[in-house]
Amino acid sequence: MSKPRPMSRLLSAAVFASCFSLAIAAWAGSDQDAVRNPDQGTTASKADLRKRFESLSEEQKQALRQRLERLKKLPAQERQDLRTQAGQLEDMGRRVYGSLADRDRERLDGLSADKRQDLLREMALAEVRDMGHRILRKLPQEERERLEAAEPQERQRLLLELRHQMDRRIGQTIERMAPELGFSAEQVKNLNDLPSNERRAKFLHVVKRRCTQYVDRKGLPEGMQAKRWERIQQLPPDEFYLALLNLRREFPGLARAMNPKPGSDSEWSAPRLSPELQRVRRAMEAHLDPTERLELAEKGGVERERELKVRRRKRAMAALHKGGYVTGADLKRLEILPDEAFFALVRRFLDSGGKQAPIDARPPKERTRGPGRPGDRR
Amino acid sequence: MSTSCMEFRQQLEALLGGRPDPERLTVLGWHEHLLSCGACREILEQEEALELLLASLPDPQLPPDLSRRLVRRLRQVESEASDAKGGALESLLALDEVAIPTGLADRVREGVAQARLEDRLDALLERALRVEVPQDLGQRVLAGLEGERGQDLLSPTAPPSRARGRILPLNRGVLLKLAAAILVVASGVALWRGTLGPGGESSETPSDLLVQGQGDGLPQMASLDEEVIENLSELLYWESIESLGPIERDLLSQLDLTDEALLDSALEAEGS
Repeated sequence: MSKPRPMSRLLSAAVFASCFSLAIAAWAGSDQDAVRNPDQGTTASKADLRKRFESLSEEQKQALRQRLERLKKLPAQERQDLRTQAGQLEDMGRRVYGSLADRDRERLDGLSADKRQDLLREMALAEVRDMGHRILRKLPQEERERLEAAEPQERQRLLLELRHQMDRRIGQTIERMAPELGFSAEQVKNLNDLPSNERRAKFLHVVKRRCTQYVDRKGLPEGMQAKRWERIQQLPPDEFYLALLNLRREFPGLARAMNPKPGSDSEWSAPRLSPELQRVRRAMEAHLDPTERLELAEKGGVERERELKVRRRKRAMAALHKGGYVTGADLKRLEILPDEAFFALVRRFLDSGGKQAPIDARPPKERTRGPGRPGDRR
Repeated sequence: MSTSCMEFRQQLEALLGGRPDPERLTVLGWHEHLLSCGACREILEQEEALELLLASLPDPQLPPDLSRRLVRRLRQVESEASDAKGGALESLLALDEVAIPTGLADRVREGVAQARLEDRLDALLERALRVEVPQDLGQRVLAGLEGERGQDLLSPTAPPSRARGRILPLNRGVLLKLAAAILVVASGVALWRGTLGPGGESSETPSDLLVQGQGDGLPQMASLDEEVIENLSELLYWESIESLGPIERDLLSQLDLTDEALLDSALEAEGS
């Protein structure tokens, strides 16, 4: 009987082990892909990620490697902050996806995985950025200035304090809304006894309930299809709230549903801003419009942002001119400003409700504290 | 220069610095003082123009392959240094005119090697176990082994240590089979955890990655790429976050849509 040679036995064992490993790996890999890809719109499968990475230029790959290395070296607290922020941004991406109109969602779903993720991330970023500005705008001027001037650590402390203030305010606000919503004293107490995070989530439930009640009473704003409203009503409270914020651009009267004033039930009352100012605001919010962004889906991210900026700027200038807020000479001065300076000026003009002259392009020696356009008040 | 000029210029100075940001200066454009002071208006105008110009300049970019070239060069320098160090230490010591004890150079080299070994052991333990490893564990283990070795050498009658127990009277055939088995298992595990299985794209979450200790060697490009792929979504989100301004980032961490809804309600209550 011939004795098997050790080398051939070794090879057989290695081949067997490799096949076994391959089979298990293939099984585990496919299983994991399935688990991690529950929602086509907001998450990417591992295969997608690999394909995405391989499609990047060497320069982009290198930038990602460096980012990973840099993140690994960050102090624990900074890493934690970054993770919180990434989580918030991801949450916003989920809300944006949920709040998309049917046609936009279909369009987004029809794109390749990497484009879909890029667009969703861009939309989330635009929303987050805008939310920050909106929140700042709604703060009392003194508080806003303190925040803007504070050093980073102090700013974080102030924001934490603001969050606590907001938490305390939830109880009072629910109590104030209770009669309108038909809440009993016990229900209000139960809501207020909840831990902070749950109370926050419930508050958005309350806001949703109030908005839908308002629309039920008054009917839909002109031009809105019942089917669209039905779909929005099905959304979870946070996605519902974001959808309503975005719908406000299309149907300005919906702002009333979000903040109904007692006694203003007779009709879809006019919003606070004049139509001219609304036009300027809509022009400035073009980058938040998913349809607009999806139109540019085939372009690269940088090119898309640039194009959106150009459109936004052109429209804002036209709206300012049409509204009589600037002269032809002012427009020329505006044209030469860099984008960031231009948008900052128009934002400040809008934040003041049209009270502050939109153009700071004039040299300081010529500046006066005149109103933007006579008769424009919030 | 009047007191109000000084105050204005101090405010202006406080707003300058850091990354150029023309928006910062627009606040000062409405300062009362400017209505009556041409000199300060001119200064502000010049600073605004400068900030606008600076802000419009692109960020400096490092050449894409700089880090790779740098790493290659460092490796080259390291290998040149290790080639040359034999003679270099002696010649360095020879420069000093003081009498040098015999064997000092060897002792220094041993000390350096020992220190490197200790560092590596600590780093390896930290990386492999991911549990709390005492800072000086590597040192203590080495000291223990050293003591054991010394004891064995000094007393031939001492009971055999665990280290000695490894030398079993095995024949070549048994050793070969053992080595083959280890090779097969290791290749299986490597395949499983390496390039093909779920471990190929490490199952560590970004947070695990971020707490993992750093090895003393440079990370291999391939495994780094696997880490990048595994964390690609998060890295891209981080990239987006980095494009936010400092206030926007802080607002993102602390506040959300609930706060906006609450502020809306507060404004509404004030209005009514």
